[in-house]
Amino acid sequence: MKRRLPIVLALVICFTFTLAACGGSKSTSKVATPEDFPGHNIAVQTATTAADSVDEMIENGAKNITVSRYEKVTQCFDDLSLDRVDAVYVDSVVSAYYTADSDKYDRVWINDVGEPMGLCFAKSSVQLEAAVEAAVDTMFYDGTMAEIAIKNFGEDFTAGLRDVKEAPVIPTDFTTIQEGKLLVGAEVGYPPMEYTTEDGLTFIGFDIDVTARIGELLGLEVEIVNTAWDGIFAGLEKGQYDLIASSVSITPERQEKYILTAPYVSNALCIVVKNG
Amino acid sequence: MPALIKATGVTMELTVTSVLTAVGLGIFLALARISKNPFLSKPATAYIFFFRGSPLLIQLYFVYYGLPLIFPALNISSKFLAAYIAFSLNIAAYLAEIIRAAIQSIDKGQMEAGRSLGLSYGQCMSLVVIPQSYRRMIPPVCNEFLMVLKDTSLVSIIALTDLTFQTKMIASNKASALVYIPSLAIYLVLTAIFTIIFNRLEKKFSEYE
Repeated sequence: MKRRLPIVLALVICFTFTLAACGGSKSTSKVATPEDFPGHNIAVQTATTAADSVDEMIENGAKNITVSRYEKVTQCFDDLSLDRVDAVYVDSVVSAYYTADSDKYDRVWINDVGEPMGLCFAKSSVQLEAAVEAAVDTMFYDGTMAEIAIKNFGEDFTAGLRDVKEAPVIPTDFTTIQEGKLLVGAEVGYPPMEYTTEDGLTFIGFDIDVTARIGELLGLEVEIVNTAWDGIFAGLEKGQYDLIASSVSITPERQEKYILTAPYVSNALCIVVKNG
Repeated sequence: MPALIKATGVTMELTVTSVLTAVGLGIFLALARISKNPFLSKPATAYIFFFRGSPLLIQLYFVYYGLPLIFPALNISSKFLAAYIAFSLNIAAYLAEIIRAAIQSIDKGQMEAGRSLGLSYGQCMSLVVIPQSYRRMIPPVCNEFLMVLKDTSLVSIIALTDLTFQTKMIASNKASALVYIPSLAIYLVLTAIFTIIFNRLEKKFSEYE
């Protein structure tokens, strides 16, 4: 036993390092479109439309795509900056945040087919959904939506989504889980949509500002319920919050299971790579 | 299901390799810790204090994301390697204490008898004391091993697809939590296998007691 132990240990260490050496898979060629994904390491956040899109490509026979799945979108960019992945496949609203002030990242491709975002409700919240829809219309009507967009994105990603000619009337026959309160489910950690200030104390972002304004219009106190993205829809079904305002792309599958508002911010899948 | 089995491989590999490495590292740490030389015992104590005193999750984050920012040369591109390093370093601290306790539980007379027969300190340790301590180490090491097997689920934070991460992905994809059942079963089978192995080992080493 005494003599065998060091040998076993040495073998294990050698084995691990060989395995690890094979594991590193940074490729030399660049990714420019999703057709280039084979042979590359692509970062996505779990349970997002980007992850679904890559999975669909793999199911349809695309080979040799390494998919790195992260629980937080910020980790995708951490690993991109450390050259551990070749590209990040992500919502364009997020890419705008990362490509805005630095030339470190480049957006090389954006999907022609947009995936605008909506607020998401449980099937039972018909009245609340109607009231929130009217509140969002009001924000488009009085220009506060454009203001919030410019404050958070630097440009107006909400332009042209809704054409509201008359001041909407907000219905008052809705109920919420806690009276006088609007519980909003969000995955805080998705800049610039919902994230925190640098000290980590205050929630900020586009969705946070939008829901704050909705709360004002409906006369409700807004409380953000911070939830992991993976599982956010399950929380809605369990009645942990009244709605999800967390960059929910409108997809047919989601429309089948939940009530989604009309688009309030435009978005599309895009590919971000590191410069140079 | 094939995805779950593949992910089980990652869980197993990480557990076995890091525990085996940690046993090696732990023996040295334990010997350094009980040594009378302060240049050995102080650093070993500090090491154990650090790795037992901070969460494994943060150590894992630090090895994977923090280190490359401080020392660009330590940019570990393999997620498995990063997890392996963080786990080995962490487990070694726990095992060092287990091994130290086992060695110190051997009656002082054994060492004194060895020394009086003319064996050196090193010979006494490796030929007399440590072999006797094996049996006393096995139950706590088994305990630690099973803890590690389950703690490997932490690696999902660095996007390494282990059994837990794979299960969560399938669960959110199918919007059905039923996939947790096969996953639970796999964990139970794994722990059962290792419990049996460790029980055998314990029997084997208790032959002379």
